[in-house]
Amino acid sequence: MATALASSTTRNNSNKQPPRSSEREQLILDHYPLVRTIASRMIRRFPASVELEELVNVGTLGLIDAVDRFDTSRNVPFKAYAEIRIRGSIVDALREADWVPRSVRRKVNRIDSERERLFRDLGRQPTREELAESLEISVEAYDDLAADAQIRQLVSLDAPMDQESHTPLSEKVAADEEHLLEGWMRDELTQQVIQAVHHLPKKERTAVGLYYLHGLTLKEIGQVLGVTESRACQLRSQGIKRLKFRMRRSVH
Amino acid sequence: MDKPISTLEQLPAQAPNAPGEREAYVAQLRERYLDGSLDEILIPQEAEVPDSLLSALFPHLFPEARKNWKH
Repeated sequence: MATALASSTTRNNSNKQPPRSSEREQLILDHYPLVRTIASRMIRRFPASVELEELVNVGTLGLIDAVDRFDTSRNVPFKAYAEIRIRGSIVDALREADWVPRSVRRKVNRIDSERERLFRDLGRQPTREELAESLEISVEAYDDLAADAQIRQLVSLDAPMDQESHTPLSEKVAADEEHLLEGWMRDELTQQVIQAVHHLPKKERTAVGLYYLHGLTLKEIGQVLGVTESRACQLRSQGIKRLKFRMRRSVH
Repeated sequence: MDKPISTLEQLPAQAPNAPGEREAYVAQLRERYLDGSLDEILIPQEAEVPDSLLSALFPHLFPEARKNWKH
């Protein structure tokens, strides 16, 4: 794995080139266990009718997509990028498939509309007995329908993840991805900023380093450099301006 | 000088706030600047770039940090 990935991540100047087929296959094989791990984690949120292998299959398509789209110029670890594509493809598949039979959806819609009607008539939430009577079915049959409704809720990406959380699964997935992206961006920028600070002219480097990394005030920086506070302020500003100029390509 | 310069390397990167300690810290930095050894400890290894610096450089990426940063 390390060899294939290493060669992949060093294709910085030819990032538009797709990986060679042997590299591509190796990347897919190496990261296949990741698909299974992610699918196993995600399946816990779905009813038993959803099979792990189905999630693994769509996740694998996401992995292949990740291999084909991976842009090495972004200097993002392939594994982290692949995780996003794998999870994204599983979420997309769940959205498209709506893994609830149409007959169940019809029944659930019937319950919903009856509940609304009774709520209006009674001025309170109806009991299950009242709902069963209104639907002209037995209480047991109503319970079965209600269980289906529960499954539908579980499958819906817009439904809350659990009783305690009001966050829909779709938002949770998006937030996780955003967090991951933010993490990459931060790590990557940190390295670049440190490198860029090293290359500043000495006084500017000192002013920026002491101000931001050591937490000194401008007055204290002036004492270290043997200059006035306003000169220290000027040096820090010049340093920041120079860093911005040097790093402008990093984020655009 | 209360502390020998060599102990500066073991201090946290952030200047201490305790009275006396902070002045000593600044004085040590001044000495290091004069003898040319400040660069050795200016950017600590494994340095974390603070939000305030990221925000100063990339305000469009880190707007929240900028809002919270007290100048």
